[in-house]
Amino acid sequence: MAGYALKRLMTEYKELTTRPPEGIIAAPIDEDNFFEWECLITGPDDTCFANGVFPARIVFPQDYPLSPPKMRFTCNIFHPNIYADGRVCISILHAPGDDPTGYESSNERWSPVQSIEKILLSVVSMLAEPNDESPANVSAAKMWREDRQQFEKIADSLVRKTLCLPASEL
Amino acid sequence: MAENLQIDEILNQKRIGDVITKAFAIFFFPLGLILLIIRCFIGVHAFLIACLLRKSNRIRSIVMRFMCCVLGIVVRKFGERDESAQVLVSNHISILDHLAIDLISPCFLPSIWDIPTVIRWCFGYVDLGASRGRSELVQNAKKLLAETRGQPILAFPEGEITNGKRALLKFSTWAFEISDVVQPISITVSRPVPWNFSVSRIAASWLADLVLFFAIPATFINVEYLPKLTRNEDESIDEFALRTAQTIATHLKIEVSNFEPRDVAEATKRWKRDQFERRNQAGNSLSSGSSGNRLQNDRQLDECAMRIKQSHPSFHLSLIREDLQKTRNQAATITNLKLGKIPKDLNPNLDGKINLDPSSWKSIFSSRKWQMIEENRSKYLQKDGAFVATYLYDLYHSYVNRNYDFENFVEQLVNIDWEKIIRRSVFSGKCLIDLLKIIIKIRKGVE
Repeated sequence: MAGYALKRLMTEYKELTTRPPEGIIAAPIDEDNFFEWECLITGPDDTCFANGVFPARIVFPQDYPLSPPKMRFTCNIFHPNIYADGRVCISILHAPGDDPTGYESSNERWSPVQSIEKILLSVVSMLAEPNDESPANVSAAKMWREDRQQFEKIADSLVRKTLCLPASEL
Repeated sequence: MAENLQIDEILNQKRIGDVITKAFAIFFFPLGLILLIIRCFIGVHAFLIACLLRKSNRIRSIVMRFMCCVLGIVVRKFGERDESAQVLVSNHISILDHLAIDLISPCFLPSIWDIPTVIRWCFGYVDLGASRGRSELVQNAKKLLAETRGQPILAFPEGEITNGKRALLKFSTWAFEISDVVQPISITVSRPVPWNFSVSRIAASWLADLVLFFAIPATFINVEYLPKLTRNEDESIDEFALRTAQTIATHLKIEVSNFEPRDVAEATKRWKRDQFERRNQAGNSLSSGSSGNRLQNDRQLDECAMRIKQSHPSFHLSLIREDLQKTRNQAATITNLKLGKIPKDLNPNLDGKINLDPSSWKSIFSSRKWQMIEENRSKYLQKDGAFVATYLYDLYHSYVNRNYDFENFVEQLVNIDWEKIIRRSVFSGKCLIDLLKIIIKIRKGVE
């Protein structure tokens, strides 16, 4: 089982290295362990996360791609669909059947035809368009709805942090 | 089956377990050294005899057994060898297991392990083409048994050495594919009381194990033949392997675990890394008490590179990170930056062909990573610079709209929170030039 997972991860690694999608890179943290990856996601243009380079970790189960991997941002991030500890909550990371929020239709769920690239692209679009109907971070969702300006301010400070820029007060 | 058993429990972590043995080891060291040197010479002779007298020779068996006793390897046989079983299956606890069994009943050991050809030839190992795949191995083994009736094949289906105290590794099944009748063997090793050193240790080299065998007066290898087992008709090979493993395990009063040689390799790697880190830490606390905080792992180094970048923005991140890899110290790298030991610009060697060798991909990843941060950083700053430019432009227009009120313009200019703008590091030289241009324009207009 693990053998197949390894093979599959290797193929995806090759694909992501030779043809990296715009603004996304990913690789195993340690070459001895293909089940834990680090990746960087660039915030989509024309959003408050634009130009931010957000690091995250993906942990794959031994029976990947049958079960979905888990993803977690390793930087501070304030977003309605990301838990305060960095765990990402999007439908593509949930196997059909377990639905913590009750808002997802099963065609957006995890299936073995999905890939790391697709996950990361979904995360990018999630950054662009938060789904505040099933929030993982309630206060972020509330602020997103009610005080957009403050939300953008916080997002900007997080972006600056990922770019090694001093915190702004403007 | 052994649940929640840790892999570390079935491998020896240390050679010496208790304090008394440790104290004794220091006392015994010079004697052991002399014994080792003498036995090395005798060992050469034993080796020559092993080469001269070929297998299945009764004299060889007797002579070798005697020589091994002199070398401190005492092989004791229990139980009876059953000639009708052509495959011997044994647990694996030391590097000399096969030698011990070979001395009692000459047998073939398929060399699936990395041993030099010379040694393989001398000890009469057979190359059954294990490297070309398992079916090839099984085929060749069957052929060999058919050709030379009498000499059995010996297999260690565990594939790795364990301490034999808690559990066996999961048996691999190739040995059970060769024949339906196998004879299990249980091997135990004991050393007389004050020499309580483990026979093997996690990540130990075979040479270290051998040296210890020679340096200690005597090591008893107890080989016990268990009654032969026959595969039932409705039993699969996996079940047969498991039953054999359980027979041996029950005899040794231990369990059968689900660990495979791969897990042992993993544990070995982890153990080596831990040792390395521990040694590094010990080295640090000794050598650099003051400069202290040496950065250990890649993650810390990455974070540190980003911290340095914040206060030294003109250097490329990947160059900072490269230097940190060498110095492993924030202060040292900052000194290097200040002394100009690090170039400011990166040689553009990123966009080349991508090597097909996966081991080079990780470095591609990290150079892309820093490049990505640098690019987005300058984009972000440009955006910010545009913000200042827009601000100045607006200011100029308010000046025009307020009927060229220069006093008011200057007042607004003074009221700008320059400190904040500069702290935000967006006020570049270009912004200053823009501002001066506006002022010159205004001055000209006023005059």
